[in-house]
Amino acid sequence: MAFVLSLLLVFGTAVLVVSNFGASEDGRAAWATGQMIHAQYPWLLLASLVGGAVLGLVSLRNARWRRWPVVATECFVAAIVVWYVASYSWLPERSLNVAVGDDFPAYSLLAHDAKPRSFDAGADIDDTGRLYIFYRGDW
Amino acid sequence: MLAVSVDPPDVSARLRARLESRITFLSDPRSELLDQLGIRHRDPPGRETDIAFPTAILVDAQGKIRWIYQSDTYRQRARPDEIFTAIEAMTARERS
Repeated sequence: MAFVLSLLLVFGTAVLVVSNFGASEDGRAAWATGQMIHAQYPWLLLASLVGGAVLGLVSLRNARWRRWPVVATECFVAAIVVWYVASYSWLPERSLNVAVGDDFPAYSLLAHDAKPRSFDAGADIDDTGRLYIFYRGDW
Repeated sequence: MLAVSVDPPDVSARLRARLESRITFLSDPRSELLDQLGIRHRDPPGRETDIAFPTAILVDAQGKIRWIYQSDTYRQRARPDEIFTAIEAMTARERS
């Protein structure tokens, strides 16, 4: 019973996160993906994975050896996700060169159509405002 | 709304087409704008070039920065409701 529950918790959570990628409602990320991209620590996902792995370990008592590689896989999956969330995904310290209230820096850059776009806070007062989204790229 | 990365224009164009997006994608291959803002991620693990720290910046009609979102981890992005709240605050400020 504990073994079945541990399978559901660990692999169910993993499948939920993976299957939620790309899914969205009203432009919002689906729940599990939302936890991954909006929460500093996705506690419920982590608790489910770690709890499932611990249950798997508990279920090994008096169990047949064939269960061991499955529980080892559960522990591996839980450990990888905990390491990724708690350590690997953290960005280094940085210091912004701008603050709220400053002029956005002037630039001239090529756009996706290979034509230049430029901006200069001193000269360009022609629209309602702009939202810049800086992303890591190479997608 | 503009999306900015260090990708060359043709890579941005492919992403834009795949997302069926209509916004402008800017290319900053030498991290010039990133350096002016202080959001260049040097030697990121698993990448061969410097890239941008995930960041969102709201700029008003006068070209002044009104809101900055920075991620602590590269998993995280600004939530749509955070962005809308910032836009509403900026609009309310401009009206008053």
